[in-house]
Amino acid sequence: MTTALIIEDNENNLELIRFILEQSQYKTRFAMTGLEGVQQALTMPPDFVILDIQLPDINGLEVLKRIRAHPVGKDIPIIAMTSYAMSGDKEKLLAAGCTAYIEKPIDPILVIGQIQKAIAR
Amino acid sequence: MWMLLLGQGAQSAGNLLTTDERAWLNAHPDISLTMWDDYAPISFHGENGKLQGFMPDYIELLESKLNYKFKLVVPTKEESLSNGKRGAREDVISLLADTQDRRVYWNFTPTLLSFPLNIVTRNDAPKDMTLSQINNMKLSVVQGYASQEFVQENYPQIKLDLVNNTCQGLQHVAFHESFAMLTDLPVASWCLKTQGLINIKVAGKSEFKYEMSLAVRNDWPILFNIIKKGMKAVTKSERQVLHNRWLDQDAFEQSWMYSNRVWLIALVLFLLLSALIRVYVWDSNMQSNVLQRMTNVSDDDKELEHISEASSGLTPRILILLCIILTLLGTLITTEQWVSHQDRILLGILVAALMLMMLFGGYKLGSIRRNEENESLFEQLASQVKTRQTAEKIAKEQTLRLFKQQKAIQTLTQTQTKENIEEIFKEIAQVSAETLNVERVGIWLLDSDKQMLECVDLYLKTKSLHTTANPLLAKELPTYFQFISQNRVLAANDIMLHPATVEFRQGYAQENNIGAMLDGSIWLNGNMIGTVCCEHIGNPREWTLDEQGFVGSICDVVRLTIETDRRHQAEQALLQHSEELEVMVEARTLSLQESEQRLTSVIKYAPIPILTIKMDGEIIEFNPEAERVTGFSRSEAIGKNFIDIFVVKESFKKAIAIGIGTKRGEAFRNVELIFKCADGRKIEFECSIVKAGKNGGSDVGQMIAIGQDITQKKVLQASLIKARESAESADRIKSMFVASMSHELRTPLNSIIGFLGVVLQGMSGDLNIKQKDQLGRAYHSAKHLLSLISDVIDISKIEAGFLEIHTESFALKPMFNEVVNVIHHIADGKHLNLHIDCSEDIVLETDRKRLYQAILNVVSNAVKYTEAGSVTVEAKIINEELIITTQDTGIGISPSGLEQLFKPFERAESHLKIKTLGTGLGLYLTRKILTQLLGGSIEVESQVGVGSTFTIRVPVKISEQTLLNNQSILEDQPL
Repeated sequence: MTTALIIEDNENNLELIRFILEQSQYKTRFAMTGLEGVQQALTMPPDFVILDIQLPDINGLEVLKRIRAHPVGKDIPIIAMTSYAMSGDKEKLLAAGCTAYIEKPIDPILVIGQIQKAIAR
Repeated sequence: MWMLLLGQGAQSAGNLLTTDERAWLNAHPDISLTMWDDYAPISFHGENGKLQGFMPDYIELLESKLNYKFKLVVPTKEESLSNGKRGAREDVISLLADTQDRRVYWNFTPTLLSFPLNIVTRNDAPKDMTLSQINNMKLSVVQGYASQEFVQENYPQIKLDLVNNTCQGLQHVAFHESFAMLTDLPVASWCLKTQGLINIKVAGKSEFKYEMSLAVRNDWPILFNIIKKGMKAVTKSERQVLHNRWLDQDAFEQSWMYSNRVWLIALVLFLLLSALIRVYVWDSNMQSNVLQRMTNVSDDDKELEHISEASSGLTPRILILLCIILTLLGTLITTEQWVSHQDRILLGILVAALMLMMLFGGYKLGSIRRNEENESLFEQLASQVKTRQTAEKIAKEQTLRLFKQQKAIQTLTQTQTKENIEEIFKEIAQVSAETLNVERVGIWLLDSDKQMLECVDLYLKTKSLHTTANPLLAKELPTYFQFISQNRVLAANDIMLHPATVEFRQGYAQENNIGAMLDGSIWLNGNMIGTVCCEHIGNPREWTLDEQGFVGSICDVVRLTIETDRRHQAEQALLQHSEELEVMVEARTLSLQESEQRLTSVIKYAPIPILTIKMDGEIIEFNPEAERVTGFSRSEAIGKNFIDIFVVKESFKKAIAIGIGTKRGEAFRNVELIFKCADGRKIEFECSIVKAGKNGGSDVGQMIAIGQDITQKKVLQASLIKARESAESADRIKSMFVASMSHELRTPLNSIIGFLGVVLQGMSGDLNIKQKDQLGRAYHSAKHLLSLISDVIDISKIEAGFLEIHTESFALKPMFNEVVNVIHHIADGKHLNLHIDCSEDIVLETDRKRLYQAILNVVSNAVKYTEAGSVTVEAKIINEELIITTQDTGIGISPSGLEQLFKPFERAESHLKIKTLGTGLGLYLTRKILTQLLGGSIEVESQVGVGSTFTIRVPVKISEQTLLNNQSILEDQPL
């Protein structure tokens, strides 16, 4: 079973994406801070990561860089998810090794297709 | 010689007389001696009134012998008539013929003079007459002379014509008053000479003669002896001298006129002959010279003449000279009185013989050289001489002409001083006509186009008239124009024959009866500028070389005149110009002075401090405002160094550095300098530094600093900066607030939208229709709220200038696909024909996100407001500008609607209002994005009920790929 690590601080959003993924038969874990997310991703590497950019401790970009800096996290697909990002966020994330980029609010139907597409790469 | 004789006589006087005789003479100091005054040449009154003649000289001789002076007595007329009878006062009679009657009173000395008495008649009387033949005819005798006594005693038949003296008697004979005269020849001869009688001759001799001697009173025998002794002392030669001097009886024998004429003829003959000889000799010499010349052809005439002169008979000349000398000598000798008659004849023969010899010699000299060969040479010579004479004549004429021409040129050169050029031209024409002796002389000048010759003067000689003539056109006289522009002189001896005057033959020459033309062309700086035309009336005329040369000179004079005139005009213009310049300089100086005064007043009353300093810092000008601001007085500041005023050394250095770096007259603005005031305060000045130095870039120049006190300004500026900084921080806080707010607002909205979406999708279980509809409304409201929040954030960010541009390279077509993805379900729902016309190849560089936002807004608007028909979107790139036109067949926008279109929260009024969803910020934000972020524009054209067309223009960078593809598209397009 494909396991997804969701790094998201907002409970509602976490629940929403977990629900959608589980509906689609994905196994989910979660972390509600950046550092916790990095730790989980490197100790128990998931099949892919759903990463929220706006986090309370370290922001999503930093989390991305740390995971990518480690040999374990080097090849894990990471899908960034952000609400209406400023211009340039997308480029920064992609440059730092982000696999795909999904804008909030998410469309429950479209989002699975976007995720599947990103994992398949 | 005379003196010697006299001296000898005086010496011998002492010995001549005895002491008794000397004593007697001493006792009788005044013995009278009668001397005739009418018996020339024996004794007569000379021109000076003194007695002269043979006897006075003889008595003088006698007196010197006797060393005694007689008392001379000239007898009166009565006394002379009674001669022979002794008068009371007579002691000695100087000369008296010895007759028996006279011996009563006189003792006669031995004969002193003996003259035979001759019959003198006119020339027409027969020769060899005797006295007996004169019977019954008148015979002139001097009354009281011995001759009267002879005739009366021996020929009583002869009628006597008694005359007073011999000369009178001869006159009687000459004028037919008597037939003949009986007289002695010396006296008659004298009379003939003095009175010029020529028809008198000696016809024959008589048997009488005068035996004349000195008569001494016979009662004084001692005196008789003394005189006889004296007479003996007179030598023969002394007497001969006196004879030759006075008694020229030979002259009478053949008539002196006759004998002189012979000599004259001889002389003339001789001269003629010698001239003849000279000619012969000269001829022969000439011939020899001609021969010499034949052998030496190169000798010229002059040399020949020289040689001929030099060698033309030294011999004949000497001969002639000798002849003349001899003739003169002969003549002189024969006329000398001491030469006797025989000597003269001998000398004459000698001279004649010599002359003949020389004559013969001269002739022979000439004749030897003459032969037939020489004669032909002589003829050649003669012809040569003739030729030479002709040549000389021509040369003389030419010299005369040249002289005239020279004089004319000289005259014309002097007229150059005249101011009026027309007058000079007239003078030139007139002088030329007179010098060359031609009827018409014209001066023609070429016009600026070189198309015609214009007549500046035409002088007619016989009329003495200056006139003018029609211009000569180059197109009518091409041959003439060509000739004169290539030659200095055109000498047409016959105008009908010369090739260059062919155009003149018909009209011009016939009208004016011109036979010959002599034209000179005038040249200036290598260009022909005109001609001088001399036209001879009547027959052809041969122009001599000197005349041609003269015309050339005249042309030079004309050129000189024109040059002088031009120079004169140029000088005038220059003069005028310099005067104008002077006036200008004066005016300028005045205005400069005024300007300086103005400047001084400006500096004085300017409300800003003005300082003038030297480059070494010395202050030389300090205006009242500077005094007021700094507190230093003018007198305190002037002469001080600038650095003493400045508190900060750096400011001084700065000012000087700027002064050096600034060009003269250039201002360096907004230099902030700090001044130290008199009271120690520091003032900041904002200065303009102007360099006004005299020495340009050198550091000796002046520098003007115009300052403004900016201390207050500076304080204000500082507070303003502070205010701005605080405002900026407030703005940042606001922006941060907005940014954080946007997140905080959106996060719950995202959850709301997300969960609503999940529920609506039925992921959490099925919903009934009512539930689905209600949840759907909530879902869309939440989405609307989210887009509203997003738009507000965007607008606020753009207005705050916080929105950054992120340029990236992307293909345009996929972006349109995204747009279609978003809106196609709306279009499909209305059955609209959505057509996107965009090339796959367009790749450009700009902010993709913002461009997408703008395009989506416009296209979605078009779809939203179009109920039926089509929406066509066309994208193209022209000149690095992306142009996107969105054309719809929608409701259209009214003109009033167009005005409100781009304002916030305004939407087109229509019946669709309720139906359409939107924030009301769409076009407002779109325009802000396009104009403020992307530097582009948005325009709209619309007609209500027809549709609208939105045109977006955005400057973009075109990738190379696009260019290439675009080009290929253009090329592929069929024309």
